Amino acid sequence: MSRYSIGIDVGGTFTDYLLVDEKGTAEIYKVLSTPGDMSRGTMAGLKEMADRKGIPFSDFLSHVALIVHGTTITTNMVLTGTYAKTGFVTVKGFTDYLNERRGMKRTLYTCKESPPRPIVPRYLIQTVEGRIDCEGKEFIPLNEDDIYAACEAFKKEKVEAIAVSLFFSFLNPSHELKVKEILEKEMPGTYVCVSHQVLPQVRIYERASTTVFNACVAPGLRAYVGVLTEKLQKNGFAGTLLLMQSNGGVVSPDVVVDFAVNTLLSGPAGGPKAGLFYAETQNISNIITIDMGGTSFDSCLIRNREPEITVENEVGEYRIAVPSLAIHTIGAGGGSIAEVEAGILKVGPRSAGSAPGPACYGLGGEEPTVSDANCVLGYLNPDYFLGGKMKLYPDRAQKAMQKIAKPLSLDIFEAAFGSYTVVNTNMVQGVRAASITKGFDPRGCMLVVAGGAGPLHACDIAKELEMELLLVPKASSVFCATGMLMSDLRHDYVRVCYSLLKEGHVDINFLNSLLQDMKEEGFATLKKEGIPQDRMTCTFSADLRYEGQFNETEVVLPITDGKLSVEDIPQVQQAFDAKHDALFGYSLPGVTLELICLRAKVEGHTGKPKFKEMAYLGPDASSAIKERRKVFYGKGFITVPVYDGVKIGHGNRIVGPSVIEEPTTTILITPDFQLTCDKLGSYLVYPKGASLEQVSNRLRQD
Amino acid sequence: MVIKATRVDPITVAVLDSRFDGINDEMARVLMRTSRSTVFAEARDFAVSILDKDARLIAQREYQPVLAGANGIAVEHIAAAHKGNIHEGDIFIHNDSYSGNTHLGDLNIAKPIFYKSELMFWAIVKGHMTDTGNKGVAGSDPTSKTIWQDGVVIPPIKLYERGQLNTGVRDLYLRNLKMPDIVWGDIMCDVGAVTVAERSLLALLERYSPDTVYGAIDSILASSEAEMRKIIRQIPEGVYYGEKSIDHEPIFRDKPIKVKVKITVKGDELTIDFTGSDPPTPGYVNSTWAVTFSACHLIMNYFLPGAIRRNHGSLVPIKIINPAGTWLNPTFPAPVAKATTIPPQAIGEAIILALSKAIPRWITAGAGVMCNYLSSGFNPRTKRSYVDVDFFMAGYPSGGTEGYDGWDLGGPIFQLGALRIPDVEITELAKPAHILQYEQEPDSAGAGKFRSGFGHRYKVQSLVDTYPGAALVGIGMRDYVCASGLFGGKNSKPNTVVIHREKGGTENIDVGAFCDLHPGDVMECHLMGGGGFGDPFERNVERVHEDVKNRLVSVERAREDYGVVIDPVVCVVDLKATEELRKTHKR
Repeated sequence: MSRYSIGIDVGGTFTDYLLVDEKGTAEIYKVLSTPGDMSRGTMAGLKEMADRKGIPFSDFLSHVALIVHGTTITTNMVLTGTYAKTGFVTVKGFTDYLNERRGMKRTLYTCKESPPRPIVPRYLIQTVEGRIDCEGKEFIPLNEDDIYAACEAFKKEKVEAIAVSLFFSFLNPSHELKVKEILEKEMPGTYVCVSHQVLPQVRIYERASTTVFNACVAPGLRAYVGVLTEKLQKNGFAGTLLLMQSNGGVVSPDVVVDFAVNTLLSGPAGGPKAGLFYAETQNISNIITIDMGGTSFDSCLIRNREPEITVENEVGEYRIAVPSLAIHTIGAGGGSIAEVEAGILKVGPRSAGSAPGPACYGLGGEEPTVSDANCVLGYLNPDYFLGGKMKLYPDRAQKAMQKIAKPLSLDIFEAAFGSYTVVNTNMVQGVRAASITKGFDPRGCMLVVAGGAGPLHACDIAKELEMELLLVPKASSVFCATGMLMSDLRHDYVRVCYSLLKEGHVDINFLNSLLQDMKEEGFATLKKEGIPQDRMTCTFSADLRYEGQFNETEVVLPITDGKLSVEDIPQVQQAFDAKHDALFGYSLPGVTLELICLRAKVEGHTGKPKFKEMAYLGPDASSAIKERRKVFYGKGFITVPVYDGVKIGHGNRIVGPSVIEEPTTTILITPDFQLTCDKLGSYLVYPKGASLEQVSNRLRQD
Repeated sequence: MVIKATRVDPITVAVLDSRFDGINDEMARVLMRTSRSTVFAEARDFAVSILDKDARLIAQREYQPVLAGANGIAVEHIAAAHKGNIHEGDIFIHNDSYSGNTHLGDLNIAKPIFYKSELMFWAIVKGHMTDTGNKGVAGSDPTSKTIWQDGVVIPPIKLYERGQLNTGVRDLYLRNLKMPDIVWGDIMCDVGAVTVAERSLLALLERYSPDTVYGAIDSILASSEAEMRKIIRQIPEGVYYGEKSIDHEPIFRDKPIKVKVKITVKGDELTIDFTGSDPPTPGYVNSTWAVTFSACHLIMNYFLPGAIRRNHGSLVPIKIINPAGTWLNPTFPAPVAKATTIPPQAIGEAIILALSKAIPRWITAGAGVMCNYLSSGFNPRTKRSYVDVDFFMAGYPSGGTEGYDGWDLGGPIFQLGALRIPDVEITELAKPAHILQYEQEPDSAGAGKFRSGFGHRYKVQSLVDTYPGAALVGIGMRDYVCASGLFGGKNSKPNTVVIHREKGGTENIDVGAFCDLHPGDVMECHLMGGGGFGDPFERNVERVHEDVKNRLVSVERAREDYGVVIDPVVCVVDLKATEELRKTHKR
């Protein structure tokens, strides 16, 4: 029997699987997720694979070499408030900064709004006397009585996890370590984490918030990982299990439980890696991935084969400052509701979700959504939604569309096309935020399109952004699961080191010791995870700013021989000026830089599955046409051919306007575009009149 | 080129509406990410706007709401002053309070945007500079008696002429400042932001034609105006009066200074008339025309329901009568350094009190009013001078409103939750002080069926001499200035500030005074709560219990203010005793 690799993407509603065998044959599975005990759903899908192959479950599992597991389990714990009962220890006199979130309010101009639910209720927040100053020196000694008092209060309330965050602990961790020691001694079995270990960097609110989220979700994640590992082993699994992290890398189960917060934004994190995989197949290094689902639209810029990482993330209006893929998310999806607000058509961010869902689902939804628009316009086939597993009701979609058509004095088709256009504009805005506002021109990128709804909207998005090449994978609906199988082990490290970046100020030996230290820690962790030395890599970067600024810009350090030297400084300065100008419209060459912290990205490279190539079928795709259908596009109805995606193969060419129906997605090729199917079954979409080769070559040169 | 504002289809209108918002976000991001002052980068004390060629406000991103409403007025004055002499590549600099600005601290950087040699848009950033070149601190000198004591006055002039930096303007201005590097850094941020706006707006004009863009702007503004008229029609017609005072002004200090407002609602128009308000004050608490205008609109938008867009359209149905010669529209050269913080709070409360009778279900009780501390000196650790506006003291709660308790921060009417409260670590790295306490003060919320948020207790220790200066500014030290409760809800208690001297002794500090700190001195502040809404004895018992459990309301106040009896040892509600107590209260 073959040996298998499996990518599993556990979502709130569905769990997606991509199974790849040694020959590169890929199969897609989808089962319902099982909130409560998520491992049941995860196991059920694996069981279904064995059943479909007609082999005993344990035989099947013993042939699985690799499972990469992406999960929104921690995200869901936070969104539904089902995380551990968590206590928080901070500095005496500062009980409220965590829940006050620096006073940020969602909507300025309303008095009728409640703040988000406190992440730790005030009565579970305990404070201790003791202070470290901004140079790491103690100026008020730690009062241990306060720690014991906190223990008593926590015991009384039966807390399951405790987060500790004290001022400037990243410069001097002695107080936090003492608090941790006493808590662990007094409350054995309770999960305790301290801020300088979770996120050793400045800004107390961000560090505390991140640490608290880590404590909240760690017990639940630990339990889940424990149960899953046990179930897998009991059923004969002897391969490697890896989990997806928010930074786009994977991690072993032992390591993840101490940094549970690193999984909080891991839901969409497989996407960019999948995008990168498809980019490689075209030999293109700059891409933007977009993923349009039911409620949200993610976009991510990948420049020079490197997805961008950010520390500016939020979960439920709280800050999470661990490095995560810079995935820009907006509220735009199939379920986004169209409404007329103060006389102007708006689409989203309000969403009909999955219940009641769009009106065309027939589940009781009455408000017009983007899916309803797609249904009214004829883009979706009511009898072939999810490959025919779900019926759509165009009459209900039309009725819902009346709600916006009337106040705008449009007919329902114009209103539907208006909703289609407005949601596309919002998505264009999202792509702009992920590219242009970062100083990068999307015209130099290929657009990689994912998500069930994405391929219906991608052509218009690309046209608006003047992007000339789109790639729609056949497996676009299990995009993230694909990406997971393509991910490497990754660990990020940060060390704070304030200094002016100029000779006489900066202590190069100290910096090199920090760099070395991070590298060793990373390599030791990878070793623990079974990665051989020759498959480990490490890259360094620095967070820098002009002297006196308050925010940093990350610049990759030009280290060639493993060590930084004073002679490298001018090069770092130039790289910083260039990046600052691109990002913010100006630079201040000659102004001294301040070094805030050093970062290391340590990766362990894993073996990746290879997909099987298709036989060449030639350009003629006419045998795949299943019908001709009227769709509304632009100013009126046009009749377009509808292709059965299952029958389309390598080399087939299709000219827009046309529709391609895959079992889990539908692709709309607008009148401006045409496509060619490549040898992996991906659809390469490019403007009519252009040559695929020329378009691709142009992007390869950028 | 003559622009014809053609009728544009509703879809294109929606698309462009969304793009204008996006461009403002792109501008704001430049300021937040690259500033070298805490004022921009941390507190976000700025507002960016896009205006059309006639200075009509199209869209804005206001991190500081009171600044935002004033951007259109500033551009009007800049455009008028340079009529016939505005060119591609010009960038204007301006801070003159008497030509359409707020106080001198808010510097305008405005760029006319040309497409095919024709003026199409204005992009403007108004942001608070850390220095205005006066003898006071961060632009505040409590002894100021004229605008020249507020700082260096810049009429609308060109910082860049056809793309060329006017180094003379730069050098002259910076030579008059204590903090030239920080201010120049922030001016460059502003220049970056308007440049980013220009790039995006030109792309928009290229993609759609100027005719289409202008047609869409007309539609957007018309929709906003119609929406505002629709909302005003829901307010019962009538004439409503309100008044509110501030503590005093800093020169004579002998009496409160009053805002008087008469609001007339007729059909779909609303008129706010300040006739009869007190005359201009000798000291720096005066408003400016632009601030008064902006304050009226922002408080209305705060409690009026619906999705009102803050653009030229929604401004039209609200008329403001603000006769020259009151402290809300003073005569040159009266000082106006505190225009953006002090008058808006009193204006807002006076409007709230007036309209509370008309729209009890929409209105909110008053928010905590602000006093705050400004200091400057030399930081031996960084070997640099520092100027600090203490934004911990900008965090006051909002009042209760039907259905909702107030928020614990984000109340004051000039900021509405836009201002970011500082980070203790960043603060201690930037200024030589230890922040010793910043947390909510138990029993400080104005009691009500819907209570306000809680006030704060704040303690800060200076590590150096605050030389050349420090001042306590703002309002709220007296009962008549406190946040007003409504419909049986309680008022808040006043702010108090005392200094515990290292060498011994304690001093009470009033607003509007210099007050230097020396190494080791501790300033202790009790920052007020907001006003409660409705009878506190009708408050949901479980919510009172929750506040007690969270150590925010004492067992005594739960009984006295809310009629809820709670066992102090086990923290459980005695339902029977509560019912009894609440019955007695009704009788």
